[in-house]
Amino acid sequence: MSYQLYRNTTIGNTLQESLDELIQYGQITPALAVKVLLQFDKSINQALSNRVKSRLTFKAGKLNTYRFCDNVWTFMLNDVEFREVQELAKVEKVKIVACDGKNVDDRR
Amino acid sequence: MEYTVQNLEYAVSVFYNGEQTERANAHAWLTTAQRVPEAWNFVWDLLQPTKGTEVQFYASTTLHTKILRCWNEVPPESYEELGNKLLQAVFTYSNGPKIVTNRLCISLAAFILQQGTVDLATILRPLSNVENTSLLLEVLTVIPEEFNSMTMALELRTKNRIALQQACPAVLDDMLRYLQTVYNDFQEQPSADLIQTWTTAASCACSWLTLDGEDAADNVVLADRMPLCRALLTVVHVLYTWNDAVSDSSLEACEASLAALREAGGARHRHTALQLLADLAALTAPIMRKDDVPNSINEELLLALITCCVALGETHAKALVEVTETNDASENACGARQLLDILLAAQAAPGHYPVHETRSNLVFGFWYTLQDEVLHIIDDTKVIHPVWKEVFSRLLLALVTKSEAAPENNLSKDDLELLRCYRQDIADTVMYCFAILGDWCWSTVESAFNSAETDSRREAALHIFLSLADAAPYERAPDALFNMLEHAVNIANTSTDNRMLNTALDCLGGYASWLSSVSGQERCAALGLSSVMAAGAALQRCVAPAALALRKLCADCSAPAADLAPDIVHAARSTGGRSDGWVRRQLCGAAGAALAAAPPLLAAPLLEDLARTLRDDIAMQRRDVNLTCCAAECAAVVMAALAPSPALAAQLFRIIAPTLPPLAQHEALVEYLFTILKQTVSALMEECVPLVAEIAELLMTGFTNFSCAPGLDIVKLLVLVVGEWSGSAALVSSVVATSVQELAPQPAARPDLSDGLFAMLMALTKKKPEVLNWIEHLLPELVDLGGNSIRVWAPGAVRSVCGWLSALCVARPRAAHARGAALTHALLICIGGVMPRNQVMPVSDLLLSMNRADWGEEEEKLETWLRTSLAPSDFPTPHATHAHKQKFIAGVLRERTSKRRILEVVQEFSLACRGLIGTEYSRQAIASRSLVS
Repeated sequence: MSYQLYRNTTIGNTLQESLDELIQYGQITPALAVKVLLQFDKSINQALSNRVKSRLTFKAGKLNTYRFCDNVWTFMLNDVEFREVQELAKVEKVKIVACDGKNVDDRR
Repeated sequence: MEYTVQNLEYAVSVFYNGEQTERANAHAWLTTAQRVPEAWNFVWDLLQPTKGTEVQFYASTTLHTKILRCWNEVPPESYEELGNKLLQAVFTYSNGPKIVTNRLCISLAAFILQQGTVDLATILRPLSNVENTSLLLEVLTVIPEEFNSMTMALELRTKNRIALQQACPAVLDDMLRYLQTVYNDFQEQPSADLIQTWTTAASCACSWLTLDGEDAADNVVLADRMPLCRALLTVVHVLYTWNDAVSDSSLEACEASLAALREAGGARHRHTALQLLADLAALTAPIMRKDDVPNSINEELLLALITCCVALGETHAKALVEVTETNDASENACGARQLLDILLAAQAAPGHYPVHETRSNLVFGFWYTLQDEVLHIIDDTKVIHPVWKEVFSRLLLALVTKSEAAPENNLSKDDLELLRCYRQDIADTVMYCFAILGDWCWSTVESAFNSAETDSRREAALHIFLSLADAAPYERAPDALFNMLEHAVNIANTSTDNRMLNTALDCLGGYASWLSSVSGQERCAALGLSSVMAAGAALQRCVAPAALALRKLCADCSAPAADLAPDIVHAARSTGGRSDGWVRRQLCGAAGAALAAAPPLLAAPLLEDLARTLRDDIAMQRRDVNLTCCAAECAAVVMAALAPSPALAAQLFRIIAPTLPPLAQHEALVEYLFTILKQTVSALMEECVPLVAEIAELLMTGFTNFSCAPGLDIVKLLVLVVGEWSGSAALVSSVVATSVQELAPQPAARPDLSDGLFAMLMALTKKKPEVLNWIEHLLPELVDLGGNSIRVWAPGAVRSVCGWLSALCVARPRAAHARGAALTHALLICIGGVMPRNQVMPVSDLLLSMNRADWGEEEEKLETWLRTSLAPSDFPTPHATHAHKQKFIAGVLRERTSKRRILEVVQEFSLACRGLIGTEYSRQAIASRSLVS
């Protein structure tokens, strides 16, 4: 099974809202909605793993908090500067949730 | 239209040959035809060999669809007949067309799986003679693929999984039997048929080895698979021996064999794993020796081999590290070292990436795994084995070589982007080298730089040096690091090569914070000064990277920045420095930092000059709005950089202040005005009191003309920093009234403004509750607006509104109580379905605050409001039953402390209102939220 963390992105949340509505209007069954969610997990994991080629670097002024739980790293960063070639963006707070990228298709 | 053979053939013909509209209609009709019960009969008519390939393909696809989707239409007593017909069709099409054969094999696989894979051998027995080998292998290959992609009930899936896992060893034995021919004594190149059999057998083995993901690998030991692995390796060996250039069918066989080997080699057993790694290394080494050249004719074979080496090396990294450290001469230890040599050679592939080779890109992940394993082992011993210093030193030198870029005119735009990403991977890998080598990295890089014979190699060494910047030791200056930075300074001073100059300047900026940490050492202080001078001198030749380096250096290295403040300010005011907005902001940032570091007597006149230039440009708004925007942004940047010196920040504000009022009249400029004001308040903090009236007036005018969220943000900041002043109540009251007036008719129209307003109110209510006195008369309208805004799906606004109302329940419960019933009703509508389920957390927090609020002697409380609102039978939705409502009310009222528990109550009720409670879907939806919250 693929990672499910991308369900809490804008696209994942919007998908779930759409599924909610389709179920309520009787257009699909909850069982089909689960399948759609699982397919979403699989597709987005694969797409982010294989199709995204862009790279950028970032540097944080401060690592505020970090934890490693259930094989998931979480970092809370302050004063983060992202850089892609000469494009710079500064953000006050960034939360990074990082899962093991190896064998993304096979792990939960 | 009736589902006759003629009509179906006609529709297929239209689908492939008709006009667009006709094709769409034909597609819809043919899709419907696949679902009707008659399809079980007409497929056999359409599968007659006399029909066209398109018709046959449609028929075979329909058969597959029927078996997948309409299996319940087949009575069990007809299974045998259907199986026989399927087998007959497979035989009929054994010689193609290929797409029809493939579809029929998949249909047969689906047929087998629908029955729970009972008696696989019996069903496939008719295919088990020599003439039908390829058919048997094709059916066997697709069975695991079909199992992984088919939808089936859990019980059937489990039954199939058990049956397939039981059949797996026998299938793999069969594949090994087919592969035994690789051990023949070949006097000439193996025949095409034999190569095809190897390819099919390897693909089939790979398919069965991937059965059910990685769990299967945990249940077997590698020793059982070694004969298969060796046969697969021999396929590659034989085909390479007979082909100087391995391509087409031979390459396909090699790739299939290596793919199967990757899967087979994942099983456990340390000793056998090392044997496998040694065998793989022995196979790969001669191929690398011969073909590891730029634009290799066997690039694809090398790619497959290296992918396999990386995969097995990563899988067995622990065994690899342990045996490498033994230093013995055993076959396994030699094999492990040979594998490392191969991977180092692959990383250092001759030629430029991506022009001459792409295989070096495959190895980066392996180095991470390797260093991780090495460091894991030394956790116990605290000593890194010398062999790793050698391996990672060689790797570092390889990375220097590979970092070298091909001449730019040889690279397309896509190549340049690939190279940029590749160099980023190199930079990451350099840090793994640092984890093993420590300070030795700088010495290695310095040697590489000094021995380089070309500028491009020197640039590559500088890039590696840049990659190490974040690891530079605090308050310590190793000679090699110092020397390399000196080289970077010299290059920045003299080079005209764009790439070289760019990298050298990035080095100066990258090491700025290190320079700051060692500024107490005399030679380092001098280096800091020369770095700033070099960055300034490079502005003429490479303006953007030079400006960026200068900003970083000035921000971090105060002493040299202060010494060179006149020059830096001059650069920021020069025509060249003002030509591009981005460059100008960097230079203004550098100038601001330099002025903040300089002695006040020196800084004041310089700032005066800079401020006058900015003021004049801001004043250009009637003639050049873009120049005004840029100048305003730069003024904000300078202001931010002057934060350490509030007197200078105040001086800047006083000089540019006369040009600011017109900005408040211009819609395109008002946000720039707010940016300047925000930076002014942030820079001056408590010392902005003398200017507060002026700032407040500008703020009020700008906001009244063009209300926007950044204006409210500054009001919040000003009140939090200064507190109360003569005009504070008027300012807050004015911006709140303006916002309410703007938002009340249509809360959904400006979610950003709604967010800004309630975020400001939340912060002020929590930290300066006396502010509520200033807007007492607006509170009823604000609470109403809050209730209406909650119903709008704008996550930020909902969070802010709920946050403020929660704070209000504590600070001014009576104001919230007056609208309690309406507010509760609005919250229930949201929970019931108006608001997305995943936005309910702020709403549940507000319910908790309302439950905890001290309403005094009031009789009506949350319980009353909840019961009244939920009394109608179909409110919030017809799905919510009386029992659901009672459970929800009890759950909310019981909870007075835990945000998590009340959120669970609200989420459950939200699902009940949507008719989703108790489904697997709802469980999945809730479970996934817990991962990232």
